[in-house]
This record gives sequence, C-alpha cells and structure tokens, in this order.
Amino acid sequence: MTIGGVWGKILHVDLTSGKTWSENLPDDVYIKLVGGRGLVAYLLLRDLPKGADPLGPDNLMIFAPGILQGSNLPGSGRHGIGGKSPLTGALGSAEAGGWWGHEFKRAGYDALVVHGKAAAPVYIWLKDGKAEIKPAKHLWGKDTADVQIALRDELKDERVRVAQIGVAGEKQVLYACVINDINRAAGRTGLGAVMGSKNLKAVAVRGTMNVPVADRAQVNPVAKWLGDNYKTLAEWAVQWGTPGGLMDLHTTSGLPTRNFNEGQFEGAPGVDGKMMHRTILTGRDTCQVCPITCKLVANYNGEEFPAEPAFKTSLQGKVQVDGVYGGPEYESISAFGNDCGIDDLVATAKANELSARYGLDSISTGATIAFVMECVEKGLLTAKQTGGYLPRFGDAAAMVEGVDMIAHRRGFGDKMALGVKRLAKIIGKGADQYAMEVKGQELPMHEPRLKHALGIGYATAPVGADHMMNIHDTGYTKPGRSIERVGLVYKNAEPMAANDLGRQKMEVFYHEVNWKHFLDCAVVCMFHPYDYTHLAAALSGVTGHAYTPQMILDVGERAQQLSRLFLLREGFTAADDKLPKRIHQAFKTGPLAGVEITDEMFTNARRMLYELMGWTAEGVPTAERLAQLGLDGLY
Amino acid sequence: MSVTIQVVGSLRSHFPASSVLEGAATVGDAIQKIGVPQSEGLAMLVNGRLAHWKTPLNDGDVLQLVPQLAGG
Repeated sequence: MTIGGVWGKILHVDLTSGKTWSENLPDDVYIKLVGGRGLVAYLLLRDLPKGADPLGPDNLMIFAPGILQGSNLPGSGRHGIGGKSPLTGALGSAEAGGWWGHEFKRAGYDALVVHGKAAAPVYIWLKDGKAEIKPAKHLWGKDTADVQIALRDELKDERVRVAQIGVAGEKQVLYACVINDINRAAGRTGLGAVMGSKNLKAVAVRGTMNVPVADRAQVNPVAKWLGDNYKTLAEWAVQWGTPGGLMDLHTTSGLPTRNFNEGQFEGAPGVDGKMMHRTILTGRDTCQVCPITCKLVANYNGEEFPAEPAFKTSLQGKVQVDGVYGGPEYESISAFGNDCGIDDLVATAKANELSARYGLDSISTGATIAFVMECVEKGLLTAKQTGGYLPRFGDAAAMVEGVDMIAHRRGFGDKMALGVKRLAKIIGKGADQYAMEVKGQELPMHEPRLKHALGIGYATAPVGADHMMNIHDTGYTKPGRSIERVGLVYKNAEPMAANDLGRQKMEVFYHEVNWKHFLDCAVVCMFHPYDYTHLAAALSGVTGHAYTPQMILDVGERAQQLSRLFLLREGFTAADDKLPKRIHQAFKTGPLAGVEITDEMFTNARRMLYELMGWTAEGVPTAERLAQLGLDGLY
Repeated sequence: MSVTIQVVGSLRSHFPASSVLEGAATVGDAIQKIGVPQSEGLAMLVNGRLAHWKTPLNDGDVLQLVPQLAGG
C-alpha cells in the first residue's frame, strides 16, 4: 500500500461457513473511489449476483468508512454502510455519525463485507486486526441501549463501539436501520433488515492502531480553518441543531403536512424545534472530532412548561422519553409530527426514541404512518383489515402505537413494515396515489414544490427519494457560500429562484450533487462548511496523492455512475426516475399557490441532467463517460 | 419608492425585525442594501408569495426574508 489513510485491505466474513479473510485492494480503487458509497457500489457490482434476493444469503452487508476516517479531520467521525436494499431493490446506502466509524478504522481494516447467513444469531467482534464471530442469541430481542451495555460488559472494555440492529431489523422490517452508539442511525434503505436476514445482531469494534497519514502539514490548516470558522459558518447547527428551521419551512410552505397534502401546518408551533430548546431538550452531543455539537438530547417524564403555550401533549403520564436514545432531529420531528398532522412534540420525541431503541428509519416510519392515516381518512381501510388500528391525522397516541407495532410487526404493523409502495398495492382502491415514494423509498421531509431541483434529485438518486445526496434550492437563492463553492468549477453560478429548473440550476445541481456523493465516499459530515479546496487539501495530505477540486468531484461522480450501473443491472430504467403525482399538483393557497412543477419542466430538467451526467436519453451511462472517469476495469 | 423589509427567525439577531427601505428596484437590490444574510439558505417572499433575487419591487411591497435549513 503506497497511499496514506488506508490499510490497503478489507475484511470479509462469511457467516455461512464461519470463514474470515482479508482482501488487498489496489491503490487505484482507493484513489478513484475513496470509500463509502463508491466502495459499496464497486463491491455490489463485482460480488453481488444480479437479481439476488436482498433478504437472502447472497446479499452483501457492507460497512465502509473511507480514507479520512481515523485521520482526526473534523467531520470525519462518520461511516457508511451498503448492500442491496430490501425496501427498493435498488442501491442500499446510508451513513451515520458518532464514534463507531473512527474506532472501526483504527481496528485495522478499511471496510467489512459480510456474506452468507449464520445458523443462529451472532455478532462480529473486531479488535486491532483480529475478527471473531461470537454467539448473540442472548442479545436477540434486546433494546439497543441494553445490547451495547451487555457487549461492553461481555468484552470487558468500556471503549468498545457497537453497530447493531434492534428488534425491527431482527424482524426484517423493510426500512429497519443500523444503529451505532445507541442513538446514531444509518437510517435509510432498510439495511437493518439485511443484517437481520443474516442473523447478524451487531458488529463490535475496538481499535488502537494509528491510521497512517502521509502529510499532516496539508491536513492541519484545514482542521484549523474549520475550528476558526464553524461558529459563524455553521451557526445554525451550533445554536439549534437540525430542527431549528422547522417554523421557517412552514412560513415558506416547505413543510410536508399530512402526507404532503399541504406545505404549511397550523400546528407547527407545537413541534417547533426552537421551542424544544426551551422544553424537553436537556443536553447536546457531538461526534468523533467534531466541535459543532449539533446533536440533541431530549428527556421527558411528565414535566410541564407553563411558559410555553404551544407545548401541549396528550401523552402526559403515559410516556417517558429516555435521553440515552438522543433526541429527535428535524426529519424525525417532521415525519412523526407535521407529516402526520401531529402538533405534539413529546409524541415525536417518543417516536424518535422508539426508532433508536428498535432500529427503525424514522423518516420511512413516520411517512408510512402518515400514508396509513390518509388511507383511513379516505375510507380505504376498515377495522377488520387492520385489527382496529385506524389512525387519523393528528392522533399522537395512535402514531406512537404504530411505531411500536411496526418494529414488532404486530397486527397491522406486519403490513406497515413493508413500506408505502407495497402497502398501497395490498390496499388497492387507488391507494397508490397517496404513496409518497420514489423507487419504493418514502420521501423525506423536504418539499419539492418549494425546491424544484430537490425534486429532480428525489427522482434520480440511486436509493430512491433522498434529501442528502441532493441539493436544497434555497441555498442558491443569494450570493453566499454555496454559490461561491460551486463557482469554483462553474463560473456562471449566480442566485437562482428556488422554483427555477433551467439550465443554470441543473449545472449547479450536477456539480453539487457530485460533491454530496463525494462527501458520502469520504464519509464527511455535511454540516461542516468545507468547500472543495478544503477537502482536496485534506485528502491530498492524508493520502499523499495530489487531489484537485475537480478530482474530488470526479470521485463523487464515479459513485453516482457505478450506482447507476447497479440500478440498471437490477432492472430499473428512466421510467423509474419520476415523482409522485401529488408533487406535480400545485398548492392552492399560501406562498406557493399555483407554483407548479409541470411535466414539461420535469422532463426537460431530467433530460438536461442525463446529458450532464453523460447518460443517454434512456438514462444509461455511456461507455465514453465511464472511460473518461477512469472507471474501466472497475465495473 | 419604498418597501418594507421583514426578517424572521435567526435573522433577527442580525437585522431589525421590520424596516423601511428606499430605492431598491429588485429583491436582490434590497438584500444587498441591508446586507446579505449569512444563513444556510434563504427564501424571499414578496407580499406573501415566493419571489427571487431578480423579482422587481414596487412601491409599498412587503419583502420577507426567511432563513431556510438544508438537511438533517
């Protein structure tokens, strides 16, 4: 291995045979793909048979940090995971923060690939280069907090870090997630169900090896810059964390309400993220090597807040919220709150706690319950069909009950565990018009009718609807850091309307989404206000290989291209790059009244994106583009 | 020609909640005159409807600047 930042080897574990082995990856793979999603897509194309059952033994469960993990660069305290998604049949790819990724990297491998299926529940224990498969029957069915405590006790080391599934993954809920450090979630695409299908309860890691860094002198100035600037440039994250902007989204009609029926929610003050700071927020938390400390810790045990008239709960005396499971981020509050027509912050915090306790993607869970609520409201479900579970919009207790039912696949929860696309098919009677999904993954809590290019991103991302490997158009409406950043490679960058879908917007989208995918290959936190030059310098310093800003973007584009090849191989086509019909229906009132993403606008924008990506009109990457990116031999 | 500029949320720690501005022909002009906010993202509403940098302003318009988050 001639580059820094990597060990040069990935660990394979076959749970069917019990064998473990190490594979040396050539420098070329690391330099071009860096890690994270790029490495996931590469391994899936190479080692996963076409058409494999995502819940069968042939699927791969991949844990893929990247080159920067273990380097101590601020924002590098994250890791990625991947596999074929049981929810969508497309790419499964998710990231999380906390402490596990850093520890894993220091344990001597760049990635872990789990094959096969164990005969009984097991966990993988990796310490400083040595891997063991150990029995986990005694942990099966236990809450995530209890499992971490039990493993640290069993392994006699309080510094062990644990990535695990909860009962939802054990029961293969199609949007079960992988939880690490008790309250961090690599949330989307149902990879928890993949672990569950392999009888893999957890991966426990302990690493004391120092990751080699080629030239710290190039990395240190980047770290110093972040330290000097995060308080102003990431002020929102420092001060409020992710939920601080909920009321502002309501103001602009960008707040998904009642299953995306509306963009403004009259109950928004009841789930206002800023109000949370004055009520159930009891602390803040951070990740490895991060000064921003955006995370939230919420506790509730029946307290009252008479100074906060908007704080009201129907669950006082009925639920407690345990801060060991962290606190609700924006997506969780929104999915369990406004998207369900619920104005009860305690209810959203409890639903979030259960999601961490049981290992559920909070976005898909809340969105599925919201879908069920709409089906009930529209008379598509009877008590007989659902065992009496007939939640309506606004019913906080029923929403919380629904989360528990889904996690345990109890009663109608067994069907809700399938997600909105399959559930709509089961219900029939036109229920699919209420299923807010792309390629089978539920829409996150950002409204494309406000942010039009975000909608293009929902339609074309390789995981289905996703808001992170995407742009938020409101970031480009004024001169500022986003326009400056993309302006490094796109000289025509200037302020654009959030609801613009013209050529300029799509050019910006192309570069910035490559940047987002790069961040998920390096697995760096997107709340750190770096630009391309910062991470080009950091990656150069860590590896000793000279990266320019364009090379950084190329890494992101390679991840997109390989992911696209995977989707095409698994049967997806351009016809799947579309949005739910509801998103094409303009709101009738409010700031966005009459503002429409027409079919023509959508089709034109998508066509422009295909051209920018070097894809044919059918959305297929050309051999020429793949060769230009140096991908020959990597797929 | 004068317009009223209102800011909401975290922008209120940097700008007055409401002020009157003279001589701004577009939303962009108005924002540059008061100082471009540092927020992650920004939405502009003119008389309660979504506007953008180049939206022309008329006498008596109310321009609302709303910070917007972008992820998480």
